Amino acid sequence: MNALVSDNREPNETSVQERVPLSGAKLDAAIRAMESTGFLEKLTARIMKLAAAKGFYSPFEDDDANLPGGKSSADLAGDVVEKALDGSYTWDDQKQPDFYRFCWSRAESILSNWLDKSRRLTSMSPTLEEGEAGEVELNPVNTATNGTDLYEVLRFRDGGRLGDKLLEDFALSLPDNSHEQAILLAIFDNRECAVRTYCRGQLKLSEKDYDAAMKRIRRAAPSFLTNWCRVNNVNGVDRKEIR
Amino acid sequence: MSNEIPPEPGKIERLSVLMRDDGIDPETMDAGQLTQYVKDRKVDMSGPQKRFAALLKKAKARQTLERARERRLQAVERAKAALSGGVGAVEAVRERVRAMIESLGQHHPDQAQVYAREFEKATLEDLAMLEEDLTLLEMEASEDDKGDSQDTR
Repeated sequence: MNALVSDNREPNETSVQERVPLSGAKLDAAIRAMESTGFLEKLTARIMKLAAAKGFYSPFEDDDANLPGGKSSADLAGDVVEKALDGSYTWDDQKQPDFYRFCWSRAESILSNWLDKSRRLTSMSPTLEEGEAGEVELNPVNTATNGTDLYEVLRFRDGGRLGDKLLEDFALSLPDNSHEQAILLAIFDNRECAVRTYCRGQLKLSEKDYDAAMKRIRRAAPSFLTNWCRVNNVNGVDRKEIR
Repeated sequence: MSNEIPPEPGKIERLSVLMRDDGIDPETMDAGQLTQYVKDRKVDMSGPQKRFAALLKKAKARQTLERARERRLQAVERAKAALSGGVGAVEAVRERVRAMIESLGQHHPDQAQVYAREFEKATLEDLAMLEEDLTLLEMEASEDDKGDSQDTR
């Protein structure tokens, strides 16, 4: 992951334009926003929601800590605020008068850019190249996200096909015609079903049945993953990492 | 080699999205709920909070400097205006500031002494800034008086 995101800065915006730290009315507005109660916590929680909505967090563990570059959502919130204040990001307060919303949009952009990069790089198959000493080695660009994090491997390796297979196998391992199997198959077939209300509506599940099924999915996921990795010979080091 | 770029979340990511969809909207939560929310999700806020406090402090320092610079520029403008009005206008500014310091001395003699010392060696620009400072002080004092009289009602 680090190989890709040594810095979250968006080069188009920062390298071309000269940095102008916030001043005057913009600085006043930013300070007022930052002084509002719970600003940092709210931005942190918003970033967590954004990351969750983009599928950043592994479905096989509860940890919300790691985002691109090994940062937490709170670290990322701090980065965004710092860059907004020092002028690395250009805040057009005519377009977006709310400083909090501006920070939110920058965080969303960072997460989206990271996903785009990861997908672009790993959509290519690793190719062999001749190194300086004549030895054959893997092209470092298209192996950049082969990563040590299992979830990352599942998401991006081979254009995400490994993850697709895992989801399908997981669904089929669950009791036939159970709500939990129906939910997983619905997600597999229809991207809209990643939204709770839509998924419930499609499957005509009550809130209670849906929540109970999701609970069973959460319970079953870790042990399924363990077995699946063993059977499919997914790197043991990767599995260790995810724990 | 496939150059296809998946335009949407992969299937395993959909599972992740669904499992994290808690229906919570941070914008509707109060400070206490937000603190609990991040705590429940094991996000360590201590380091980021310190960093955030430092960023805010730095931003405020920059704001203070900026305001001081603006005031100085305004003072220069006023001084120029006074100078263009001739010796009489300069004396008028000096008299106004002297009267304000005297008035301040009735309630805050220590503070007035500080201003009096500055007054002794003040250039015309300094006088303009002193006048602004003292006017602000008078305004604050009159606001305080208003507040006090409302409290005693």
